[in-house]
Amino acid sequence: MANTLVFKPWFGVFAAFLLLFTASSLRAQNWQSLKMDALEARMSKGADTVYVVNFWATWCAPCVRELPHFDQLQKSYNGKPLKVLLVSVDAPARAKAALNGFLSRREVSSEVLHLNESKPHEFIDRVAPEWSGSIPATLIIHHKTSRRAFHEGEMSEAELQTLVKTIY
Amino acid sequence: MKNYFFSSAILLAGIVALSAFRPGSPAPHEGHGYDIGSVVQDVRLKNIDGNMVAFSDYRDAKGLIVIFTCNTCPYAVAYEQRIIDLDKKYSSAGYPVVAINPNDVKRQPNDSFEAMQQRAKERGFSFPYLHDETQEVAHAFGATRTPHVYLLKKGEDGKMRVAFIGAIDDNYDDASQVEERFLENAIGALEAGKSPEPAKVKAIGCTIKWRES
Repeated sequence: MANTLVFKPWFGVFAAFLLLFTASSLRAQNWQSLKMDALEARMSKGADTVYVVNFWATWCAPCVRELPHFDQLQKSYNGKPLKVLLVSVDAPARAKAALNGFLSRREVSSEVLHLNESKPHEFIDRVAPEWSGSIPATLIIHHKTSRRAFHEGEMSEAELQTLVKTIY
Repeated sequence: MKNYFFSSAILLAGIVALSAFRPGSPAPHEGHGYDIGSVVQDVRLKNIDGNMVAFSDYRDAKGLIVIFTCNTCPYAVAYEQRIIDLDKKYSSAGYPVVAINPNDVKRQPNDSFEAMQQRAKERGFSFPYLHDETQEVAHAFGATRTPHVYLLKKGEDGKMRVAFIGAIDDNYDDASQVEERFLENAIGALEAGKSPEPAKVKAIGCTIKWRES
């Protein structure tokens, strides 16, 4: 019996590989939770950068359908000052389980944030005065030129690219 | 024949170009439809019991709580019990709830008339749950999401006017954590002979599933 508990060198190597694989697969799933103040600060970082900020939720089918378009957008602007932020508005009480579960099932390459606010009427106007409050919704903002665009509702990849070109 | 193909190709290109040019979106957004003080045209829609229900049927009401809602949106589902409670509390006070489902059944099959009937039965809706099949009513109101609330007040001239637009309260996720009851405060203001303040409160919700045109 005791024999099976003896440390074997190959096991250490195996464990190290396991750790490495877990760590690399977890890297894509990291997301940060923030308040509206912090999100505003984040969106105004780097005046050169065009921010494409999408508001979504894990359970929202049209939102989930358009997520790959944002990943594709980020890739097509590779090396250029454009930053996609995927801001989940999942209910704060369930966000951790919902986002961890979602991101372990789906490959999302863009940066994911969670808006930790429970009173939507307090953040909707701060995001965009023309936002009525439905998701998905997308804000494109460029502080350097003070140009911005806003779209409420699902977009195709072509629609998203066209909208971004009006700002970038 | 050649000509036919040529014109079809042009037509197709036109359709593709038009559909690619949609970021402006044909769907209504904030600022379209009824505003505070707007006179509301009478609405007549099919209820889940098969009968037609019109706003003008409510002869003795002081007003109406009109809520665009649906079976499928988690925000709408989160508010279901609160909507049932609102009807219990305010129906006898002269402000009954009228729920309207505006979602396109093709895009959201679980919002079909039969699914609405089933949902209302399961949850014991005490109020009409009307099917806005043509989406004309949602367009007229300028509703954009579910749930989206319009409090109407009947004037001395018998006309219904919009008194409040927006949110039921400030916490969709947890009814026990609600701090501000916007809709109830608005009804309180009307009962006190005042105008609701605020008259508009935004809420988060699901985009209404508009018909593909």
